[in-house]
Amino acid sequence: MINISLRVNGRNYELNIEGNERLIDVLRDRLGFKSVKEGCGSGDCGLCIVLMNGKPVHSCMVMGFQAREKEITTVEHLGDEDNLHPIQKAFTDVGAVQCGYCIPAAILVSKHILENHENPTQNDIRWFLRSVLCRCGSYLRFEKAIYEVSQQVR
Amino acid sequence: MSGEEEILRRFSAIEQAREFYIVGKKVARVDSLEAVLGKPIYTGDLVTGDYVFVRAVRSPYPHAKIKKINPEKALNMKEILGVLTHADIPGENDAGSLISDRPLLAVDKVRHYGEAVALVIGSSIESVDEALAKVEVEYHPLPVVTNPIDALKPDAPRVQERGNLITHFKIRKGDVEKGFEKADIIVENTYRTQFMDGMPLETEVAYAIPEENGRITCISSMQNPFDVYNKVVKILGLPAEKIRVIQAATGGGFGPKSDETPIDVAAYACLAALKTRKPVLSVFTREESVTVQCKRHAFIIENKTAATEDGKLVAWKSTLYEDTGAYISKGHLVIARATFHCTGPYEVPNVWADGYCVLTNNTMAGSTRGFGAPQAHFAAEVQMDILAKKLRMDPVELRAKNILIPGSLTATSQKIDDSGLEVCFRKAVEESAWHQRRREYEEFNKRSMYVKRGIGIALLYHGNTLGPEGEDFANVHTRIERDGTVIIQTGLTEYGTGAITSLAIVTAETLGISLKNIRVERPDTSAVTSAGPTVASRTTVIGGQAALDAAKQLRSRLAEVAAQVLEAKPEDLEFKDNRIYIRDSPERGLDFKHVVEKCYEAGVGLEVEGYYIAPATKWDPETGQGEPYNQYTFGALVSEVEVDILTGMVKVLKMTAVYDAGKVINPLGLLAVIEGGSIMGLGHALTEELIHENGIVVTPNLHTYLIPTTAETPLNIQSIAVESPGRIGVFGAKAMGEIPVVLPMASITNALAHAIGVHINETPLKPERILKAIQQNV
Amino acid sequence: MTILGLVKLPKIRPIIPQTAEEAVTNIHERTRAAYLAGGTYVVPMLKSRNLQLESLVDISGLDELRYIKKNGEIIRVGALTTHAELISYEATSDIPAFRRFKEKYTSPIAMNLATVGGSVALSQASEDLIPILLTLNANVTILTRGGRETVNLCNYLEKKETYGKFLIEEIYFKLPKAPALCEFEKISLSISRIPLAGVAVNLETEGGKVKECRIAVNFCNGFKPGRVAAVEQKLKGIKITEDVIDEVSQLLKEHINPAGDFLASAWYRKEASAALLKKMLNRMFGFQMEKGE
Ligand SMILES: Cc1cc2nc3c(=O)[nH]c(=O)nc-3n(C[C@H](O)[C@H](O)[C@H](O)COP(=O)(O)OP(=O)(O)OC[C@H]3O[C@@H](n4cnc5c(N)ncnc54)[C@H](O)[C@@H]3O)c2cc1C
Ligand code: FES
Ligand code: FES
Repeated sequence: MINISLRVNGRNYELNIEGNERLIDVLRDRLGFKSVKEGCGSGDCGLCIVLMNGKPVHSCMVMGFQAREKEITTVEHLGDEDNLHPIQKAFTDVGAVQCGYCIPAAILVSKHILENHENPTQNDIRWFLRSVLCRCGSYLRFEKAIYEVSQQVR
Repeated sequence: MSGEEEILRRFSAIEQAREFYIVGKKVARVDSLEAVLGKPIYTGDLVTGDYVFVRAVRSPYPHAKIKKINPEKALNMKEILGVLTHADIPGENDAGSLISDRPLLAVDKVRHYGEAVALVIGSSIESVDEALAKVEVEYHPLPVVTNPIDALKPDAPRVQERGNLITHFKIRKGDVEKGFEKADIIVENTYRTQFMDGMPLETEVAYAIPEENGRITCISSMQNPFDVYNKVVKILGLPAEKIRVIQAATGGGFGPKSDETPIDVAAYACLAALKTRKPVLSVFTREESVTVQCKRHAFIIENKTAATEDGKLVAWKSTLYEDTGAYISKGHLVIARATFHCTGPYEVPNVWADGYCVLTNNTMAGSTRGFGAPQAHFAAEVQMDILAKKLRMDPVELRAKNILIPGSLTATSQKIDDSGLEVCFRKAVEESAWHQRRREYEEFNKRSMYVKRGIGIALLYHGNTLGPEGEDFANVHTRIERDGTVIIQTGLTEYGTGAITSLAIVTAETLGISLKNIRVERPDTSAVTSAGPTVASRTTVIGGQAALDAAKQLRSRLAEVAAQVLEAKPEDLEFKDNRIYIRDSPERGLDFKHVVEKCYEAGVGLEVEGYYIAPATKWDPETGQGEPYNQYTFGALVSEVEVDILTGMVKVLKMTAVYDAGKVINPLGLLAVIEGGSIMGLGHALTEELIHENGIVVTPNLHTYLIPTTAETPLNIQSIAVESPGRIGVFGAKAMGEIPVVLPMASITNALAHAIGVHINETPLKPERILKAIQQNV
Repeated sequence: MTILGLVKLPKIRPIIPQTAEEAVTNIHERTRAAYLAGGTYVVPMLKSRNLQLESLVDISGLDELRYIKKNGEIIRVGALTTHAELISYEATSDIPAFRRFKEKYTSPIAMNLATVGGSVALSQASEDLIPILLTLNANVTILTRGGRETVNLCNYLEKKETYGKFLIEEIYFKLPKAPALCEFEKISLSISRIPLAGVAVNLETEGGKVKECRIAVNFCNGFKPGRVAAVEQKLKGIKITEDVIDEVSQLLKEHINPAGDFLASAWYRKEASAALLKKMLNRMFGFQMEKGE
């Protein structure tokens, strides 16, 4: 057991975790942030992406003890039913959600793109989103959602 | 005419007039909110408290006798609660979906790599993992057959006790030999398509919870809760009411989740729950899932096609070999669909086709989005292009001379009664600026040395819904709560296509209320009756009819009550904008909710069962002649590609996708399905290949089985829906869920051929294969 | 305790050193131990059971090894600098090779974890930085129990196995004299971090002729990257023409010995590496071949 403190979605946690727990295990099983999905556990699918100190990372490749003193954001922190984050709203409006399994990761990466590019080009968007597999093939919908939000902001 | 009949008549008039309020409008998916909020809706998210794990010990051999299973070392481990083999199955050891050829746990023989031999139950996943290796299974390896043509040889190893040939499906139309004699030109080619994986990103998962009263509730990820339910009841040998199966949100279906692995994972969990009386989680790892999940069948298709000098098709002969792996699953039906569609959407007077469904020691193939149609269309549409080239004809010109138009007879001599294909074809040619692009690319290719471009087309027809594949019915249970909320329950499931939203749209349309007043409940086998399988793109077409039936019944009940209050005739009432009012004096009306309240007060029941069954289809099994499907979806796909001829790397620049949806019920859903299906089809065409090496799956993960990312996605997919109403679908709707994956293999291959001057007859078009073709062609 | 990954990692003991020296001591004290930097290789390998370890020495928190700085013409990169930090460093971000490295990265989000030291430690065909750093004639500083040592990356690749357990501290290289002639090209499919082929080039010209030249490929021998001496020798002292380009790309094909796998055969990797070299040189020297317009 190893003691760590970390901040998730605006709350501080002190935890005793096992050495073999990855960040995804800590988030899902210890803290109940189930929006984080595991599609492979080998760095391929990107469904486990969360923001760590503001940057998207694959939570299946970060060990729990490595997340000590880190600040983590998952989709649960973005908005709620009555107050959707603009990117969440855009995803619904453009019909980006098919089976929904990749959506939390796609939303976090989209948010990151929007926060780092005032006017993201198709290239920028595709470069970042390469890391998120969507088997339903909603990639063009994601692009549209990001584009729409960037237009609103301007 | 009774009041009710009159109301229904009126409503039919509205249907005819196509005055839709919600149908065809852009609306968000009913359940998309939960997904963007990251709500815990999938099976794995719903697990809490204390539970145990179960996993399968799987065969490392593709074909072997099992001589002994010794679980002792595993059982001696602490945290291990049990090891189950076939002998411990209380009911029947049968996990086949339609045909009972596949045991849940192998008995005396394993027939494919990864076949389950035993189950290990333990209180920690680490211990279960460790214990898997400690169950000692003694195998005696047997000779392996991994190719359907070899498997048909008389001395081939037998995969099951029966012969390796499962079905010989035939089409006999006219006289092909005469046709070939009359022909000016004949082309003959062999096509090969690879095994593929639907690869839903959520793997198989089930969570079984034993209850006080002895019932086991199983929450799971699947397309067909009733298939799973029926099998689990049988396997556990329990009375039907002792099992309850609930579908959680399902992270992708694509066919495999309607096939047999969802039965396996649920049965593992329920068996372990029965044994331990504890909640059990059963999850497949990615590698496990890719290994045992049903595949898209690999096909070898020999096509011989004859035409006159001016490009009229006169005869077509196809031989199709379908590798269904070690168990049949849906192989016997997939071969039928592939064979029915073997000529592509063209009128050919003389057709002879033989489709063989064959067992091998590869892993099992089964239902996968498209169900044999992508393979058949690949072979037919590339064949048409090769024929056009031989005739020195533009591919579009050759197709124009032969496509199915109203009055044409298909390969089964079914008469086509709508002009969907013509319209799609014309639109695709126009919208893609086919002729101009083709010239431009040819000019470009003359100037450019190492980068070449090309444009290609492919057309499809797709027999709708089950047809010969089973009883085509659906039921939908709809009720209105006292607060006016309309609740729809059905055994049909949502797994990403947005089809369930269509049921809500049809209901909202009929009752004149907004979508947000409608809730669709997740299927629960204890709450609804079987609605038939959620496969074959049936939900909108058939399920929509059942939803319409239910909504119409509710509409007439509401109308009766509203009419009394408004002192009007029920048939004069209009339902719109959450109001019920008199058509000719709209100011005289009532809130929908108010009428619901009145019904409750008056004791008028607002709970109904809607039902629909499609007319049975007929064809002659000896000749394949008849009407196997009630209606057809049509489509055309133009692809434009750029290829680097030094490396064989190809990029799809643009796709123009035109599909005849009959009637667009849910435009946003349709758009996502067309784009997504096109991208999935692009993966099938370019990168996806499930490789068996002597029966062993060697690409069991996402870095070896390569699905499209944004980097492979075309810069632009232009999706166009045309509406040529079908005979049976709700409001004329046609099946669309599977359709967009059918054409990319053919369309991209044809575009590539335009760029490099040679047609490649084998998928996937990996850079290496393309480079070889280029080098051989110079 | 409740668990819900698809499969859990096997039990493992984390060790968190405070300094580089302590890390080296830690690794020597343990059997079956490895460093954990970005984790993008180690963690998936543990999960897939392709790697069995008892301890992980977590160096990811050693901020002393996380820097990138410029001393005159020398760029010094601490081993824990991430790929993302490397590509956004001003002094190098305009070098075409690094731009391409970024553009062609198969899973860009992984750049936020993957470290330069991790790449050098792995030195496999998946690591695009290796051919690039080889053409930059980079040096590697490693720390062993015996002390600090600096070796040329080329020698390091050859002798890596003989150093015992070491910690990579720093990679440094000189800025190229002609940044525009420092290029990299790669092709890959989908999310596979194993590419089909990759080639890096760094040239200096004088009076129209090649003065200095280094060429390296992702797949030189099996899955190992390396420089291709035959091509370098051929190019030195001559003027680059289209014929020369054809000739050296042919030569490259003959002097590499790549591995085949399910993505591509050895034959294809040779062809594709040669093609990439040809395209790159043509582009660098302004021979129009791509679009012909
Ligand atoms: C899906 C995906 C795609 C990728 N695509 C690309 C790509 O296109 N191009 C590319 O270049 N890379 C790519 N990568 C990253 C790359 O393949 C490696 O995973 C990464 O460079 C390893 O760095 P790390 O810090 O994560 O290493 P770790 O996983 O932490 O460690 C890797 C190995 O190096 C050792 N090690 C690490 N640091 C040191 C050190 N300082 N001293 C001694 N030993 C050390 C470890 O013990 C371990 O054995 C990709 C990764 C993923 C997951
Ligand atoms: S779970 Fe697939 S990348 Fe992390
Ligand atoms: S929406 Fe299904 S995987 Fe992306």
